[in-house]
Amino acid sequence: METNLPRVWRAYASDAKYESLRMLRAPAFAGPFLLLPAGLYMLFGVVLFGAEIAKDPKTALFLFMGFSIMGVMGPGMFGFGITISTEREHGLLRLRRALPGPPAAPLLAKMLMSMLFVAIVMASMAAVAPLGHLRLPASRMLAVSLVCILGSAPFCALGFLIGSLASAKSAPAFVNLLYLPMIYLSGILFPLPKSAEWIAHLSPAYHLDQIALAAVWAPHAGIPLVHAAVLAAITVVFTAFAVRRVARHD
Amino acid sequence: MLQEAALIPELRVAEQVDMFAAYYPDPMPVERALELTGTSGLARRPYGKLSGGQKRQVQFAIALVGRPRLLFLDEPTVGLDVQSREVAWATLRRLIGEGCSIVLTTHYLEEAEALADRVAVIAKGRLIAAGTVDEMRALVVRKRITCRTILQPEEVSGWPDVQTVTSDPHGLHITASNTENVVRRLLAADEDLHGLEVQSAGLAKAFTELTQEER
Repeated sequence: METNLPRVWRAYASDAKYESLRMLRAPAFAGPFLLLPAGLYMLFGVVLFGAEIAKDPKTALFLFMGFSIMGVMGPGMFGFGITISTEREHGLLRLRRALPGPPAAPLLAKMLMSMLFVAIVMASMAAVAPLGHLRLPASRMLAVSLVCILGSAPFCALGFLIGSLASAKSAPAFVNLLYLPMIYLSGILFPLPKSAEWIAHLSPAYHLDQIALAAVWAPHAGIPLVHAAVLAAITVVFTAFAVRRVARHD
Repeated sequence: MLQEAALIPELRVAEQVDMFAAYYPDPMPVERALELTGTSGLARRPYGKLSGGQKRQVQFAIALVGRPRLLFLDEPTVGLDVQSREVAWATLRRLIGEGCSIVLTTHYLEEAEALADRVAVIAKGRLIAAGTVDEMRALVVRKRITCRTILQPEEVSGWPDVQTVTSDPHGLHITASNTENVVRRLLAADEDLHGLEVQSAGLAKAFTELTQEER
């Protein structure tokens, strides 16, 4: 059946398949990003604070969302940041440009890879959610999963931008420099003090968190459409910068 | 095919070739590309675990998988061990046999001699000679005669067609434009002449002479 698909689709599909396969095979990548969100959620939401959370459904949802968003950030930021910087440095991007494949295929492949990883993360989060005393109807769990899968786009763009600027050696450090503070300063895991709440608005993680809360009809800040617009703008602007940078310097 | 491109280390060889095959309208089957480049045995090995020579063979498979009608190969066998080079040469001969045209640059003259229908010599960015391997050899018409004889270099150097004469403990070394005439006269002049050898200039020698003339 695959041979009947037009060539362009075949190229997109093949790139996406092999990009996902390679990342699933990279233990340093797949291990942390697939296991960590649900693992940390279990540690904090079940083992350490399970008893308190059992009496407080609001906190149960807050923690679930926080670790889910954390799971969304990793594959996009690290997946793009590290692979793009390495492929740029090692000439793979140049080689691909010399071949007749669609130019956007490698990028789309990485984005779909990130989305696949997020889908796996969300499946693992949904599986352990009942242990964290979170009861969500299946339709709402599906809605929040879809939001998270689509919501990986701005993090891919962020990773892409870093990957287009940093060398292969420094890219992981730069990504971490953004990833770790973003987790804390977005207020997705710990509520920020009132005076520092404005910082969260600068972070795509905060906006995605609000959309995810809205998707399960939970109290959220701002208008979901505005948050979505912010994320879309981040995706477009960062991707445009990164594409320009890669095209000019490689 | 880039000289130093790193492909994806986590993908197996067959997967890597299959990924690139999807870019072409009518790719050859992956197994065929692997077989052509002698990499069938590596099909299931992760690319990152291959040796340098094996990686180049896989890159070559990627260059072939789209069934190119014209291939440009820039020093394709640099850094290959003797066995890998033989495999590469055999592959090139098969491709030529199937109608693929190849433009190959090389510093190895034996490579040009072994593969090329036409050779072009470029020195300092200028084409200084082009033709078949035989034509290139003929450009440097001199042939070399070696023999043990009582004849003296001074005597022989005056003969027609003789260009240079040197003598050392191994015998007399003569370069000549018409070896047949010189050999006939040598044999007539010295009945005890022995150890006669006539060599035509190899491509390497022709190349050296051509580029030296250029300097």
